[in-house]
Amino acid sequence: MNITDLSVARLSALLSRGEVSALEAADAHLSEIERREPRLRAFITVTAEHAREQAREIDRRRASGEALGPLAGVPMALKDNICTEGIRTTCASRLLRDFVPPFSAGVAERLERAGAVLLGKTNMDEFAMGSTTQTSFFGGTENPAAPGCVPGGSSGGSAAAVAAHEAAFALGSDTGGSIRQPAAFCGVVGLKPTYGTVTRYGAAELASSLDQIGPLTRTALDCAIVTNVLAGHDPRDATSLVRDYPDFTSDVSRGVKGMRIALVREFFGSPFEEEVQRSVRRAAEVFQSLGAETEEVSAPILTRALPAYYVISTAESSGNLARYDGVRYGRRAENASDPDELMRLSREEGFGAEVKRRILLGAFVLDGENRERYFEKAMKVRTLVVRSFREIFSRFDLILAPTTPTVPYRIEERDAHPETRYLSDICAVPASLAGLPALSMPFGRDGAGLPAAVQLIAPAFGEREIFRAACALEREEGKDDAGV
Amino acid sequence: MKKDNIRGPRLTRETVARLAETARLAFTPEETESIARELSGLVDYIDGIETIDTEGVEPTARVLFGETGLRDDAPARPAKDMTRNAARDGAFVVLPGDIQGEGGA
Repeated sequence: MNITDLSVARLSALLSRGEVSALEAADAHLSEIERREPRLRAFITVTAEHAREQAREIDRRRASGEALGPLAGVPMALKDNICTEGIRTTCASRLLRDFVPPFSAGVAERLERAGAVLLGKTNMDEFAMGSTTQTSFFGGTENPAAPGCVPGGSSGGSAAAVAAHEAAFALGSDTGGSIRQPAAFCGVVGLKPTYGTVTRYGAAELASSLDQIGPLTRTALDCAIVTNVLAGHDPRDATSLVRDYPDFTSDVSRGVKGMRIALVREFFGSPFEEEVQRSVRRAAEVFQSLGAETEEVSAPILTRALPAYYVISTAESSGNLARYDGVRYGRRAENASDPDELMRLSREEGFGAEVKRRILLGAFVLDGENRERYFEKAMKVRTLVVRSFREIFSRFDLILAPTTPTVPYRIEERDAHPETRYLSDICAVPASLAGLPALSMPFGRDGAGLPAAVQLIAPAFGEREIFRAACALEREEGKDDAGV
Repeated sequence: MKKDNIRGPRLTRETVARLAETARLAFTPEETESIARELSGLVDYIDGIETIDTEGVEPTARVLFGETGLRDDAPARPAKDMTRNAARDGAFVVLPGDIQGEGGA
């Protein structure tokens, strides 16, 4: 048995029975990290000693008969925009390369209470702006499921770490697809939960009305198990909902008989690659064969909403990034003679090109009369997206869609097709604008063996229906709960 | 996408220079030129939202599906911890310029 091949469900069962120790689990994953990292660069910081210490403590507590959390001893990784007390948190930026947070994010606390062991902090696009994980100050991540290709982004390090079995699971953040798109490219499962379900306290904000933290795992069941730990109210995040959540694993074995699943017509045809369309069609056939009803609907606003997303996300992020001024934290420029110059030089030296571009674009869409033309308009388009989903979900339980228009592309091609880069979020953005839960899961491979994926979108708090359908699809693909 | 008839405001070099100043970013003249060119492509793209009819539609700033709570109005952590990453002189955060102190830049 290879410990790093085990799903979260299997590994935690073995850990709780004492058949595997937390230290063994941590060491197995740390060796895998050591073996694969020189090439993958999925991690910015590996916290080996911290992980072993945490694991020994779990083992000690288990030996003394203490009741432990549901993830006790399971090794995991956090995206490097999630603050960890005493462990540097860089957002993959030069500006924060030395930033050591004085507190931990709400999700980091929740995972620690559940007993999960932190292996390290994962690579990402700088400040989560991008979909390739190549804009990191620390160098780009490679896709372990498609060598030579981008892992997607911005949570590309988390997706790659899970795909390469360097971690049993990882957390990412999703603003307009930053969990789902890398999950699709790396052949793993990724969930963006309902807006307000998972606390964002202590996570660096990108676009506050869109950001949501969620899990990346190798199976849908694992995704439900980790979501159980993440969901819940946190008064330190003003968007965190006061709400009790059900057991997200409760319906995973129920099957899809009787479920009503919509396919959106506009998610077929150009610019969607043949292979991507085929995966979605084939998934629809599987759902039908299992007793679900599927039907095609038309919702043109969903594919036309992408410009509105760019307006809203850049506007919000240009404001959020104002705090990185070299005064309160962040790398200070030397030789500044006054506060203005200090801020200008610190930001100039600290931010990469893509971050500067987006800050400027955000400033532009909020500039004078542009505010009405772009920002106010985008918020109205957002209303139309919300209405379109509401109309669909008055008749359906789920939407089945592509996650991305393409399969993974080669690292050197990342700048060759700017239109592809803009479009890569086209299927992910609608659920973000409407705050809805959406999951990407691997489904098939293209002719060259590259991972293909499908996305399941549900109404607010519909995560259980998503997991129900995702687990049914996995079983049909012959995956057992170990994910192999 | 055709949009000759819906030309929005142009992102000129002057605009980039002015916005860079307000965003506390500094660019060389060459960078300003290339950023204006790159961003103009993006601006053309986002101009596409003009073609969507939003007559009589209310804006949505964010989507919340229920009640949220406020935290207690009490310090969660000592100020000393929370300002650990700033350059400090005793109780003060230190900035370069006329007012100098130990630990200033």
